[in-house]
Amino acid sequence: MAETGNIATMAEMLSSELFSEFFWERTGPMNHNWACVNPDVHEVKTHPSDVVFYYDEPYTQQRTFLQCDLKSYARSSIVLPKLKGALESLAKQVACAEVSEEWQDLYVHKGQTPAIAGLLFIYNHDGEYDKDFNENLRALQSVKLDIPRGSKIVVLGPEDIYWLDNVRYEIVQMRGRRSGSKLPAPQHCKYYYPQLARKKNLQMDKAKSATLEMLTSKLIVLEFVHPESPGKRGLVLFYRGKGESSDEFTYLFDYLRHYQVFEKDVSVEIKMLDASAYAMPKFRKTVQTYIEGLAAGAEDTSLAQRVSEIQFSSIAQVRTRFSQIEIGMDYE
Amino acid sequence: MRQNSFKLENRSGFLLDRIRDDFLEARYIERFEFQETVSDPFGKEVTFERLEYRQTAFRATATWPGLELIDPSRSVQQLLSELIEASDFSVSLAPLSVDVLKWAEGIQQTFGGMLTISSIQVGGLKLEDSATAKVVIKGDKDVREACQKITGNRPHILEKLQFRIAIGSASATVLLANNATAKIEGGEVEEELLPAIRKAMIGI
Repeated sequence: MAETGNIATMAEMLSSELFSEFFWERTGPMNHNWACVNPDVHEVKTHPSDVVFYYDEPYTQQRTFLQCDLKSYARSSIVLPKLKGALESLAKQVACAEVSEEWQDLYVHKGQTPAIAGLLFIYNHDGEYDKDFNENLRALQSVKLDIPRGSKIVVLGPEDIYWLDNVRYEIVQMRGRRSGSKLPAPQHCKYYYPQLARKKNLQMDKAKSATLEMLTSKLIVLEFVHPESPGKRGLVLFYRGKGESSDEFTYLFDYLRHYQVFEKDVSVEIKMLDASAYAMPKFRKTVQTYIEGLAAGAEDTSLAQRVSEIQFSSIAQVRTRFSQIEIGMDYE
Repeated sequence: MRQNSFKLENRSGFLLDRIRDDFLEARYIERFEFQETVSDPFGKEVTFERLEYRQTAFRATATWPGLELIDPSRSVQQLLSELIEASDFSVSLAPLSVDVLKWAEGIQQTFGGMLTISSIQVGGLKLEDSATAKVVIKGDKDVREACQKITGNRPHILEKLQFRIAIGSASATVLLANNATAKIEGGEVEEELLPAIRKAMIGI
């Protein structure tokens, strides 16, 4: 299937606007068709690469290369067979990329240990994101995809893109603010990967990007240092929840406490998109009960002070239109 | 391997899964077609065709140990013959014999802490001139000391050992054998264990 100029435009906008804020970089040519190495099984002569992104993994000494298939559709036009076709096609692309000299020559950097993954990006261009999308995805769980053992394919649906786009927009807004919580320039920011018991952050300085796992999780944590006073740092937690119960905030406080973030000169801010109307009162209540629950008389401790200093706010909702043009998903 | 890639009409062939500068991962696939005959309670025979695919995944590296078979079937002779043929008869394959205790200690070094070896199998333990024993030592605690007490200065072969390893909140049971096979039970930590097992093998 030949690639179109529409996808090219969308890929350009995506790479410059959305994923660049998560420190993903683009590699190799966009909208390029390369030879299939298994044409008898895949029943195509070439595979397309709309765009290939890469980022460094924090917990392994690997660089992840993402073979992306970008799709844009109107709310009513996505149906299960099309989604299945797109997934199967991407699986074939990933399987081929793993062994294709041409693909690796074009996109993989020499001297790096590459991990190749697939990203199916399904953008809803008429602005009415499809809430049944996840149901469609669940229905496809039983589909057997022909990908090598250990390879992964990630699907970002309209709702995920809406969430990520709002996080991106909020980061840009925070950077441009004149007062209040202000983010420094990108070179002073990185996504936060603590040292874990099972996984060590091996590339603390090099791996700054948000990984696919972080972007698809409920929590995106951005860390920054103040350039004018390097001893001071801050964390912004973009939490993808409603804030309807105190447990959600307790979890976030425990997360911060577990990774020893409650230190002097570390500011913490929690941000939520589409939060419940009760999120703010729940947050306030959780701050009080969390401190009381720590120990008798804990209200006067420095830990209580740090918890009470956590900021909470909602993200103003925006909807970006990358493209007005529908891009077909036919695989005939 | 590409020249001998598996196609549905072929009886056997390779499927390449992953190619990197220093290793490749592939599967060797064999197709078996045979007839199975079943007798019903009245003695009437029914014959039907059966089709089976046998897959053996492997990883070939440019450096030692060279070839790693993953979940291999009982007979890998055909695969080895085809591999030698694919390399234009320029490689030789030999079975490995390893010291399982050193191998386990190497794995322990990667994760730190103490490794509790819960079972050791000793073979060829010389009791008298013409008598040897095969012994399996098991315990709730580490059995290395108990093994040392039994074997003493007698000639013996450490055939297998088993240990349980906890990595964070997940754990796995690992069985190492002196023919360089490793069996992992507990898929959750396989991703972290496999590189450690490979690294320790190289370090023996």
